[in-house]
Amino acid sequence: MIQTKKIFFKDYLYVLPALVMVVGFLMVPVVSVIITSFSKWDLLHPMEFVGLKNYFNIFTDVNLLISTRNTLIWVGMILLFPMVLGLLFAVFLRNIWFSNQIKSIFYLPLAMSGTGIGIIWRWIFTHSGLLNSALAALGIISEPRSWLIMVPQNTFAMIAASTWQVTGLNMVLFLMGLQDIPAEIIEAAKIDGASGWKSFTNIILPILRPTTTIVVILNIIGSFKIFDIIWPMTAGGPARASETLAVSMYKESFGLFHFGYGSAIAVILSLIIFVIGLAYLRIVALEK
Amino acid sequence: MKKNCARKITIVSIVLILILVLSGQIFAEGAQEETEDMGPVKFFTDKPAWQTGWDAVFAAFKEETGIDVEMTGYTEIDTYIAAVKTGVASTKGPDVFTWWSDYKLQNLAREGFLEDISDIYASMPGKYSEGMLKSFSYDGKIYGAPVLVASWIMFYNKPVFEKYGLKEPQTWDDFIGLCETLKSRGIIPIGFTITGGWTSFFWFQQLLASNYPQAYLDICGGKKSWNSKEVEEAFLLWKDMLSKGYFSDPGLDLGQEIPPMFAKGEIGMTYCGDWFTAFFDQVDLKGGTDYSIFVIPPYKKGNKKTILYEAGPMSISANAEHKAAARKFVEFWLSDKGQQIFSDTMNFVSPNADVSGAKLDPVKKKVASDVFGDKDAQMIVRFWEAALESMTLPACAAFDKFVLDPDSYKDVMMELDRLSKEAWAEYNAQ
Repeated sequence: MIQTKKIFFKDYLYVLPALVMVVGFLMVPVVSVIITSFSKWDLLHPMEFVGLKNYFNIFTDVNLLISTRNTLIWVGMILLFPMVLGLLFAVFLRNIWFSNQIKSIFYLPLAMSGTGIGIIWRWIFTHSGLLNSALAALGIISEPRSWLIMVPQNTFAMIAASTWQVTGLNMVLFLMGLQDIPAEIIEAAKIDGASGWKSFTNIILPILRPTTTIVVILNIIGSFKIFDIIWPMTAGGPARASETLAVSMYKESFGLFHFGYGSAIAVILSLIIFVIGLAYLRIVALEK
Repeated sequence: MKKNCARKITIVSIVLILILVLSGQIFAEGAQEETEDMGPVKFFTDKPAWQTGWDAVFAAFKEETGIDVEMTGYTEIDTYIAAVKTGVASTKGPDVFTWWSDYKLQNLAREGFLEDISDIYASMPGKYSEGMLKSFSYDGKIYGAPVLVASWIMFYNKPVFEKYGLKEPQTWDDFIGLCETLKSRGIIPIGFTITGGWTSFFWFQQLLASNYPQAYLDICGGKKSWNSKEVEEAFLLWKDMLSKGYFSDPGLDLGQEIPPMFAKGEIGMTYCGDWFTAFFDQVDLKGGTDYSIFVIPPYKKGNKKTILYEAGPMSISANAEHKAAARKFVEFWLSDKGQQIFSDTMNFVSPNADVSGAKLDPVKKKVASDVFGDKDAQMIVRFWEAALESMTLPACAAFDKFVLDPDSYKDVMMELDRLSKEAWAEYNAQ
């Protein structure tokens, strides 16, 4: 005899807190942003339905074209620097005796908030900052420079700050991947006469491919969302030249009170991140 | 029989409970009408750095009325504006909040979010200048009480001026002579910045308004095109000054880098609102000894002395939860006592004509006499309030472009004209 388990009303109560949180803090804001993206709203006047106008404006707005270009620079540079550095640090630190201490040092910036990092790095790049003092002491420059109002140097300055933060995470992820490589394979390669570089390119890198894919996707998502480092360093300026999509979304909404337009940017940005996130989940599932 | 009896008892009980609840509600409402509104007054401000001044006024207000004022300070302007704009639509927002004058205040007033306080002023005639109150008015009603009335003036390093025998300029040629002398001595003539996204309007407003005051007002008011010869002249003058090296690197931070460089004598002068003295305090500069002020003379000969000013008000939300207490607070704020306390604590010139400036430092006394006390001087509201709210930040981005590439001034003028037309079309359509 098959006994069907009777589900009581009180059973649903156990999931209620989680459900309320998800609906209240995720679903409601998402739906409200989508609705707002089809409207014109400045907080003071009633919301006015404008159809797809905000979405069409995204493709003709010069400022948005600049932020899209900057976002793509961010994605490219973050894939290049923190990822390569993270991999190199992981490989070199794997076998040295004080690696744990060094790993902690590299990992430390990740424990700090992006805004805090932005403030620290602003003071490195300002007119009276550390970089100008160092360059002047070395005789490289005679007059201090305001790196944060120089375009596009300011974007690269902010990418440097982000690299400092993200490299540690990438290193830890690669270290986890490296732990999965059996020592016997490397030993066998050595016996067969493979040099360190050959072992790295022909054995380590191919085995690390799943980890690399995850690191790439996480870094792409992080670059599309980047806001916290930019805001204290340049606030997207001068002349909106260092904005990324996330900064433009904030500035249009809370600086210019174009909440409809800001929401449309948010929807587009979320869709991009959603698609990349799906790819990430698929890769993780395939690995399993 | 028993069932019927029980039903009757239940119905009677429900009716009695309803009567009790409703009567309680009615009595409570009646009692509320009779009870005095004792606050607390919810006060929002974007100026939490003035905590000492606020605390002194709140304490005196509490002593006089027994009402507490609860302050919420915001350091991020965008967040503050959003908090106020969302808050004033309900009773959950601020009762009283600091704001900006002219179009920024009118934006809220015309949507009915502000409380008319004309009657409070009616009880204190002559204390506040009518010209300034116009900046807080919409449709003949006054919606703001002045918190800060600041003039935009040039600060100069006194020891540097004394060392090189320099005097406060009376004409534009004198002023340019000062810049040349300072430059020849290896001192940056003028501390200048475009950082922060809002600071690049300073010199544009000064150069246009002091030479063409009516054109400045018409352009800001949407009555005249930005593509005009007056704007072009202002840009060319600014471009000339930039090319001659009179300005510092525009990447300097307004509050963190200009004051220490000024204190060290690396910068000779800097132009800002008179609230800039708070930054000088942080680097231990003493007004009258270490620095003083002058009004920048106009380029055009024969023009009146023109001074840009900003008048920041506090307003009461029309939806204030404790409106009566809020009105009492604003009345106290405007009184001689409230203004005297704030002026003495903060070293600010009070806009109340009956408040003594005896405790002000020499620079602020000079501001009171040479700026606000000069009856021949022409006071014009600064660009931040004179232009539409939707125009100010995009215009600053356009001024940034000009500073980074002064040859682009014609493109910048076209962009400003387009921005202005769009902003006015939207404003008029609302």
